[in-house]
Amino acid sequence: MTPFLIYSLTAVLLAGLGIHGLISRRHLLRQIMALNVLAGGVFLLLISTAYRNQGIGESSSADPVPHAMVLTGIVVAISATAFALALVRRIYHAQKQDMGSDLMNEVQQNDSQNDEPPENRTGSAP
Amino acid sequence: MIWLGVIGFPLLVCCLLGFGRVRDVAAGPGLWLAPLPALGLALFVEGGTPGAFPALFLDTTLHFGAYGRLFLLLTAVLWTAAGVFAWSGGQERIRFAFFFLVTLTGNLGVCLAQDLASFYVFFATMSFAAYGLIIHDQSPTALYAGKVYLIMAVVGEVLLATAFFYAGILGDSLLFTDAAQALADPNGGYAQSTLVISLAVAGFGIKAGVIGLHFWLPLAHPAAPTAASAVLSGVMIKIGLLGWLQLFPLVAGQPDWGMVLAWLGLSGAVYAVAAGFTQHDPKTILAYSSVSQMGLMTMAVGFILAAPSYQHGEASLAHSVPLAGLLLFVLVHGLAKAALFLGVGVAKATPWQVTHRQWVLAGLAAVGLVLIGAPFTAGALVKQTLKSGAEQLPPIWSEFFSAVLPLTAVGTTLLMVMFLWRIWQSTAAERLPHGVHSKTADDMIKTTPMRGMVLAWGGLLLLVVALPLWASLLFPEIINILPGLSGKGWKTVWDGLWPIVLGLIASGLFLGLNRGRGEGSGLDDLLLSALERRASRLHAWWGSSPYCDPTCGTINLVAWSDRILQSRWMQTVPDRIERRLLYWHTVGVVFVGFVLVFLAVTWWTGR
Amino acid sequence: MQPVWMILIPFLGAAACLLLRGRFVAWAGLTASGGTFGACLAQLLQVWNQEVIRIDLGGWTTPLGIGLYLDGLGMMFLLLTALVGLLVGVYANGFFGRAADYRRMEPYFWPIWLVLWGGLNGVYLSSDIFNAYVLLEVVGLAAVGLTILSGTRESLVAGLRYLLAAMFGSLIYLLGVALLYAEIGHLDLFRLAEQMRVSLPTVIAFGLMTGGLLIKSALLPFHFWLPPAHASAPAPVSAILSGVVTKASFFLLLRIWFVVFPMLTVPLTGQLLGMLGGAAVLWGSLQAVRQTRLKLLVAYSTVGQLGYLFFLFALLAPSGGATRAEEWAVMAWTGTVFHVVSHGLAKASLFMAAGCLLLAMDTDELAAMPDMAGRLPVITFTLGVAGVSLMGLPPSAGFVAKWMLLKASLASGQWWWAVVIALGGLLTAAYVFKVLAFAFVPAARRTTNSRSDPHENQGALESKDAQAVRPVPRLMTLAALALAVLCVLFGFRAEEVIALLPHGLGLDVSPGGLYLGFSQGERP
Repeated sequence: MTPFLIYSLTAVLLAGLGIHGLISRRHLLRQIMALNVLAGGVFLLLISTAYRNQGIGESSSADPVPHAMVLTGIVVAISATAFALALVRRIYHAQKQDMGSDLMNEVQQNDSQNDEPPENRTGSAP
Repeated sequence: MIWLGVIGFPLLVCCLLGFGRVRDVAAGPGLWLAPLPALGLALFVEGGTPGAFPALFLDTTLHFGAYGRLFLLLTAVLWTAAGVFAWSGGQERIRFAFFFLVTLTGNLGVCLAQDLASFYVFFATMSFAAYGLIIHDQSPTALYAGKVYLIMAVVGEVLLATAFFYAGILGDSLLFTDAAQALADPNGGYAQSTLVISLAVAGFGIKAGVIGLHFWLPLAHPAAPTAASAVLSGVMIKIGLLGWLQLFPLVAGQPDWGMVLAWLGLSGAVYAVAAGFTQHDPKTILAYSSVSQMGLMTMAVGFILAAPSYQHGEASLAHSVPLAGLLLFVLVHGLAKAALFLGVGVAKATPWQVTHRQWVLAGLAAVGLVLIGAPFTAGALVKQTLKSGAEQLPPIWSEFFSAVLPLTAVGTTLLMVMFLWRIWQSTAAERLPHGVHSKTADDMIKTTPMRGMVLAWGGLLLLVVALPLWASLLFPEIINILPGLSGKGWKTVWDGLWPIVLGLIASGLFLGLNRGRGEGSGLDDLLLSALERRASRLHAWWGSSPYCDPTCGTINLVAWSDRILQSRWMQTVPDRIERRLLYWHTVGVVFVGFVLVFLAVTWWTGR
Repeated sequence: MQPVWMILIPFLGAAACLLLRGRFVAWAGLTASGGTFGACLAQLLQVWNQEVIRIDLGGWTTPLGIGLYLDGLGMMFLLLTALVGLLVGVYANGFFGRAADYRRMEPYFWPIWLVLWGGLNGVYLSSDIFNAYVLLEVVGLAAVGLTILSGTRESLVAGLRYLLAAMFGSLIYLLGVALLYAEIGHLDLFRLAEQMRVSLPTVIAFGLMTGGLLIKSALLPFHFWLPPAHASAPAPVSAILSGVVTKASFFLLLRIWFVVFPMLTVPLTGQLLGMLGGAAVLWGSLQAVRQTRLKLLVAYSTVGQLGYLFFLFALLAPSGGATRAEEWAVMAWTGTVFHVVSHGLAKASLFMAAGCLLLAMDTDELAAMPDMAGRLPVITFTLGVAGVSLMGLPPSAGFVAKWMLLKASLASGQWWWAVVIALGGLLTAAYVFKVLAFAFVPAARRTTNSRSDPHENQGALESKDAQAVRPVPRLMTLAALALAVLCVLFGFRAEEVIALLPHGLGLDVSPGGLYLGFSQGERP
């Protein structure tokens, strides 16, 4: 059980959790969180490769490239998450405005086919 | 570049029609100016380097080829004459000029095109633009003729497109020479070459008025304005012939197809005489005469195909007497028929009292004599070469065709006499309001022929009569291998004369017996009306079916798609599946499954 | 001309648009569009002469530097983006200048669109799988930003779905990148190709990267985000999304498959992608036929048309990408690239025409637009011309594309794709004619035609009041028409594309290795 294996197994576990969360939850906020878990798994894997590849360069220090990648990735993930959250807020407000509209009924019909209660969808978004 | 310039010049003139200031110039003198570059090219340029235009259509190649110069000359001369004739104008002259010039472009292009694609484009341009010429008068007969013409033209285009497509595949090239070689190749697919040739026989046959495909011709040629019928009958129907000459393997020969064409031609020649001589409209008679003469030319093509030239030595066409005769025939008939059509216009515009009238009739008679093949004319030369072509056939057939050939001259004579008689009769009855069968308004209104009309007609007349002289200057290679006119003795003269005498007697008999009878409806009309009845019944059946859109008569796509889309299954199943597919968890499961399958496949079948 | 200008000009333009106010935004945006288009033409000339461009930005080499790589394939995508981008810009200028409702979006449209454009150019130029990820995310975020421009609830929901799907796809792709880096230690396309070996991590990386990119390129079972997003966005945005944005991830997929992983491709996986593509062609077109709203119809048609692109994988995979000198390889490549370009132009043109209709009629219900041909002839003509290209009728680029694909599939012995192509063509004809049939129905007969669906009927009756057609700016209709005509004209220039493509594709290289052909271009 090398440290790399531990790291990478954890990363895979996290990624799997993220995917599962994304596809099995209907609540938008949970889906966004699931995506972040998935992102966490990916970043963990990348960081662990820095350890793994430390012998490749001339120096014996950790490989800097994965760090750079993870930093970039985190920036991307944060901005995307922020964007998604803002969107959820807008949707929530829009939904409140036309609560009785046909669209809402349609959404509720759609949701009722699923196991989760429809009001859970964006219920606590703000 | 000169090639493209010559073809494009009429289009350029055509564009000028759009500018108000120069419109009258373009629609007036522009009509006869437009073909002049082509005339110059045909007269003064021999050989020349082929023009290659890779960017135009599919690698266009423009050149004279083996027959282009002669056809270009004929085209240019006739269109110039027609342009001079139509110069004085008529009603709707701008529209007339437009279609005139576009058709001219197509016609010039077809003469020079050496590859299948550009030939097809120009051919289609010519065919469809000619529709505008035919229906120019907008009279019911003209519209009807236009309809029949258009239907047959479209059918022809489709047949030709298929033929060219397969020919291109067979030859693996778009050049006519390669396609002809591939068709001659005995190792090539027999079925495919048969397909190509039969499609081309039918496709070009529509244009050339082969029997069974000629229905449009007696309708369209009289319906068009005089100048247009002159070029229609003079040169445009010859383009079908040009297509055959270009595409068929004349050097190697195709004996079976040769016999088929010879028989088709002969029956067309005979049938057209039988159908034509009872007609009353002189232009209709001329049109039937065209069908008959085209039949003879088709027969000549058949002779050339049936008797491969390698039988007499060199495997080339350079010394083929029948081919030279055929080309001469094209010239003679083209010029003569155009002169006759223009003559009809001149005659109808000439008041009866004027003494010039006799001169007009005499001129027409002279042209008729050339067409019949009276001794000492170019027509006689043509008849002799046709005979020599027939002699190259297998023994039995050669005797048969040699014996029948003079009889066709009898038929031609009959048609010509009837034509002159009808002209004389119709103009004699001119004072009656409906005595003229003229379809063109300008013929009715004008009481004196315009100078341009007489000029055009007279010029053509001179060209026809003096044809052996100038043809030997321009096309020495054709005239030199033909048997000379002189030194044949009285026997040839007699050979040329007796069919004419026989024809005169026959027409005299007919006129004597038939005096005062009305116009009988020929076999053609019966056939056409039967076809039409059938077609209209089919159309009615289609119109009453639920899938027909009643407003435009085409397939009612909305009804069709409604029918399918409104079915219960269609209403529910795709919707349900699509809705399922839009769920995250469906997509997620499918995605995970896809990646796993992908990995497993790559892992286990890879390496 | 450095290729980096292709990325910098739009980004600078976006910054300028953010700083400016009022009408200046549009002018700055149009200037940047023109500049990018000009840069693209300069680039085209360079690629034409020099075959392949490869530079390292700022002199930093791999692994830390950012490398740019441009070959004939990338050039075609750049050109498509530039063509569509320029004309969409012209169109958007008219579109957003219309009503207060639209004018509100204009200051947002231009910067986001320019960022999107820069990102797209970056994806086509990138020679590094991680940079490609970042740029793909830029493209994805900007695309979502454009989708929600109108701010309606419908578009917000669609946009969020799009965002989640795009993020998910990118993260999966990044997972693959991480695995690949862990195994091989490189990010550069060509270094990776040189050191590729068959091992469990590389195989998994291949699968993950392919899967992630498939989600982003909306191949059939993963198309769930595309129709609502494309249909609910404003017209110029839909044109951009459908025309060019969907092609970016497909481009990356091509690079991954045929540059990085040719060693791992097996015929079966190629067939798998091809099958999904075939299913997309049939299903997407069928759904398009069933739609009653023009924009949804066009969006589903995108799902269908994208499917054609994936036949390439099936056609080329048997050779493992390693020996791509088969005779049909050139045909398949040309056909696919032609399809990318023709679909991009035609679909953008269709969406722009649909936008014009929306402006003129206030609805894009098919049943509500009777006698459109009489009242809006230019737009109807545009729909027809673009439809001809979609159907693949000659003479159009669509015809060349489908013809090449047909020939390639027959030549390679995989005749079943030919069947799918033919069926797809029929279905395409069905929905194109459905639109045109509605367009040509005389106004009086409208109710009988929409009799089938009470909803439609009602909508049609309601819109009777709004019978009057509002004028559409000439420039908008002309921009749409120009795209459609370009699409047809493009069909005449097959030789140039065929000549341009092998630059860097290694098509003319003897069987021996794909990336050998690529590494030819690796000159400093």
